[in-house]
Amino acid sequence: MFGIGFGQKVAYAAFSTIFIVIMSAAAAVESVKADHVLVARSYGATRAQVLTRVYVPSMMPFLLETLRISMIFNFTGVMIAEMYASRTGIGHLIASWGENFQMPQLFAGVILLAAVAIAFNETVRWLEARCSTWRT
Amino acid sequence: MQHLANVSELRGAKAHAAAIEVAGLSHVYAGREGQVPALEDIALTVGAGRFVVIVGPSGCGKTSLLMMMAGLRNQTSGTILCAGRPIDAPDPDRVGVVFQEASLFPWLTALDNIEFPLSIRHAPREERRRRANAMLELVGLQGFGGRYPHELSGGMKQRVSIARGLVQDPPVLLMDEPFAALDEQTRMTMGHELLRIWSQTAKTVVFVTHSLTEAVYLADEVLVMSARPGRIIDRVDITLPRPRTYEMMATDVFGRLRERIWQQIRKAT
Ligand SMILES: Nc1ncnc2c1ncn2[C@@H]1O[C@H](COP(=O)(O)OP(=O)(O)OP(=O)(O)O)[C@@H](O)[C@H]1O
Ligand SMILES: [Mg+2]
Repeated sequence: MFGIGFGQKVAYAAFSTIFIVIMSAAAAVESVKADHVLVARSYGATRAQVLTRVYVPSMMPFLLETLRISMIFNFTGVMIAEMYASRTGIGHLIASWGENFQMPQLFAGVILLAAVAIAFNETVRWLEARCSTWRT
Repeated sequence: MQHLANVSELRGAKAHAAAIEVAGLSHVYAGREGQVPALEDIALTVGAGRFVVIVGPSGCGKTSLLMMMAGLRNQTSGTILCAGRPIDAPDPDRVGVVFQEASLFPWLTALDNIEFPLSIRHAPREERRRRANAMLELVGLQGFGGRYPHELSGGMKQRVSIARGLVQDPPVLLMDEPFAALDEQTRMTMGHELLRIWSQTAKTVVFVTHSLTEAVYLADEVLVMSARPGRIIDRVDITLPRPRTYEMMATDVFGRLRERIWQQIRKAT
């Protein structure tokens, strides 16, 4: 059995979400309305201004949503990889605590993980809500 | 005395100066199915302070023409002068544009939308606020500045669009079917409001619409375009007095003018 190191974890996480990111980036760009770009140009906006004043705010809700979903995939992905293929990391620890019936440690580990995941998820959701009140 | 006469002569000349002059304008789109001639030999003059309405069958090139007047699209050939100088790129000091309904930025409040043209040019914050608030008042939306577009009715949204188009105080306002998405009643009210704003601000307006009633009600002069490739086939002076009232719509003159435009469009299609 060969463990996975930090570099591999990052590579694995990136791989497991790259497709989600590509697909929603495409959707995000498509969500930018041609009319809005035209409006900005008609008021003399430069290319850079069109980018920061129209593209970025139009795409923001999509980008945050992508961040949230891909982090969920990352979390679970890395966790499962650690449980089965690693000798380090919280995933591995939880797996071995489970096998050795070390209940207090097991529960602490699981609760800690859940807390981190929930905190992250809720933070991004809150940001998303703030940035997309206008999406009806 | 001599001096005075000269001054009034000058004033007269200024009042009749052209805000927009289009000459020999043609445009061909290079589409997937080859060349599409969209506009052909357009010539028109819009006097300063006039309210000119353009009507014509769908796809005859009205939007294209307006985009070119705004400097947002380059014509294949011909010239467009605005305030005596050619227009080949957007110039918010000379031309403001009001688009169809969904053109407000949904992530900005009404006030921030109106400030947008000023913030693009890095106007000082104080001045932006002051001018945007003045515009909000001009279009009758005091107290609604903090609302987001989805919290406003269709008519209110277009009021905001008009305010945004006017905030830099350009002498010319181009409007492409601004009230097309509104219901009949709101549309009439908005037309009336637009005339009030126009008479208060003394702008030159070029307005595109499909509604002949709206055209006659608003215009000093209606230009009728033919089906593609668009040409100007008639120019109708609207002789109704101002200020316009809803009652005028029931008059014979109104009906005859509307009928004449309708006949021209029918011939054109
Ligand atoms: N970017 C483009 N590429 C190719 N053809 C175009 C393009 N934009 C417009 N056209 C064509 O040019 C013609 C004129 O279009 P335009 O939108 O100016 O008409 P319009 O009079 O505004 O129509 P409507 O009344 O429906 O708004 C149409 O036949 C259209 O298909
Ligand atoms: Mg059009």
